[in-house]
Amino acid sequence: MISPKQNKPETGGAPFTTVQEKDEELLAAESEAEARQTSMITDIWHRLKKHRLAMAGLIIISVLILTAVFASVIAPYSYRDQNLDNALLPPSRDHLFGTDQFGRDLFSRIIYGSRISIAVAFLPVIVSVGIGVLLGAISGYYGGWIDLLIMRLADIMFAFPSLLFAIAIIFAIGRGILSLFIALALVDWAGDARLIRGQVLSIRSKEYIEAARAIGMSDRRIILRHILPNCLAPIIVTVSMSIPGVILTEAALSFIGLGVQPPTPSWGAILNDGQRFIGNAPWMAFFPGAAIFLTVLAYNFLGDGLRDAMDPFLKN
Amino acid sequence: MRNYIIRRLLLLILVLWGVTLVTFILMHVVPGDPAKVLLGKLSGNEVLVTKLRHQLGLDKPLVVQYFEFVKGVLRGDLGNSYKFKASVMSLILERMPATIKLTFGALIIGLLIGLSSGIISAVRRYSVWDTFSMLFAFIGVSMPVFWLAMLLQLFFAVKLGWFHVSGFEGLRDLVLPSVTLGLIYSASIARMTRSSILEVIRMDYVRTARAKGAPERIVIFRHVFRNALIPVVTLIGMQFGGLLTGAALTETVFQIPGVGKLLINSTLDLDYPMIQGGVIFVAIIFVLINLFVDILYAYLDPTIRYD
Repeated sequence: MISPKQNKPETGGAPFTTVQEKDEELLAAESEAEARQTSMITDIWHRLKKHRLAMAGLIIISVLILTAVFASVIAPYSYRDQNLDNALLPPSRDHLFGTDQFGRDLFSRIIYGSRISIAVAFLPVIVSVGIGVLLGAISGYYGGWIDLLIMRLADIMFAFPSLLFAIAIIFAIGRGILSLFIALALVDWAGDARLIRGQVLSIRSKEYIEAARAIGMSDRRIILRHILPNCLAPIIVTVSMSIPGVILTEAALSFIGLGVQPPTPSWGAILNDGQRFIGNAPWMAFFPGAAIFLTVLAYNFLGDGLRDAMDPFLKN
Repeated sequence: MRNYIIRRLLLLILVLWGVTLVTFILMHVVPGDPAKVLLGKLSGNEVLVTKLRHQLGLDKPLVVQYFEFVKGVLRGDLGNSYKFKASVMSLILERMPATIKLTFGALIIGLLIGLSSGIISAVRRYSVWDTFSMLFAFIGVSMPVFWLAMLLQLFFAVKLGWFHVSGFEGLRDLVLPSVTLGLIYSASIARMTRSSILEVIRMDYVRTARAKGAPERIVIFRHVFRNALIPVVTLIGMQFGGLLTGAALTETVFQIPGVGKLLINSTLDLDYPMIQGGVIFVAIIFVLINLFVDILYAYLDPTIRYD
């Protein structure tokens, strides 16, 4: 790994207070590794800042997060109060994006809908990548029958197109936000596990791992302190690349009626209503779709920029 | 090569067995009792419930149910749909032609647009074309397929009236759905083609070809494309799952009676055997296509050793 050694560690001791004296040499090596990581992050940030599309993506995502947090302040109307006199009104000054078949303000519903998209972009992705990293690391580090078992399980997972598997899971455990998150977290770990396994396999044979083993370090500690930190770059890229797919899967599930249940607004679910009124209220189909599209586009821009910025760290 | 194929076939058997097991387990952790769901308002009547459970074989031990299920799958019998009162297999096969036509149309459109825009992008790197086609690719991978379907439907069917808004009477009704799916599909192909060509173009053998004075056209077509298209072939296989689910969503928007729409509707109807059979059917198709693509890949790229 290439890294300029400009950033010295600021606090070397805090996390290691329980470590015994005899490990001092190792301790020095570990804090140096930590310093390498802070410099890696500043290094990546410097390169990312120059990537215009990535910055555009980052700005859109930040706006989206603010929208989700302050939804109740921004939205001019309630997302659930029905008023049939106002049903299917076209966009106007009163209703920026028009209204739906129950007379609910679409702008407000789309503002509130951002909450689901943000939640989906983080919670299930973190769990999914977590499962992938854990299984991949175990698989690559231990090898043998456990590797065989995990990788065959991954092969089986690969046999199911992810939307189909998510449908089956939701069908099995019932609809609702929790089932939606569980389904999204369970469908995509196999690819991550394979990727991390490959990384771990190449790191495992490095000399510093042999050295750590020689001084009697536990497997757990070797994996957590030496192997995974060196997989950080591919893990970050994996996270950023999984987000767009997960948002699209959530939108698709809500679109077919298996995702977020009414009256909670989700962009996919609003599109489902929009489909039924496509002839007389096209705005109901246009705006929620545009929201999904912009969000996914922003994450794709950012992911692409991150991958470019991390390029030097990705080659092991 | 032969050993590789044999190993892949052994793996295939294992994966297919895993697919039946995973699907079976998923479908049998269902909290509700399918018999009660089927009876609806009559579910309070214990006698009826017991009788129906017996008829459906739900009163047998799970292991027995699983073995009977696998025995059925091996014979091509995926059970009977609760809703249609017909065999799941025949229902799926009935709807296969529409889905195959749609996927095939999308595949052709996707490859035509994706390959040409990826090639132009790579050969004229950093030109206006490159920027345009990469932006197009970004848009394509970010767009929900069902939204694009609705936009095209709105413009070409509702506004211009060139096509039926929905339904499936003739091949004409497959134009919009195929274009929708093909456009989305072309985006990832364009991206992959571009990066793959850019990688190959730097190779020594390309420089050698140029150095010996071969015309640029020959260099590009004979030396670059042949090698650059190999990873694209793998992508086509990997993306097939996406194509199948994309087809399901497109079928839903355009009301095309295909396999995807059938499966999506069955989830809303709580048709357990239909879902179970459909999931297994699609997974098997997907696994077989990937196997085919991998073998094709091994055949196309003799430098890769599989042992």
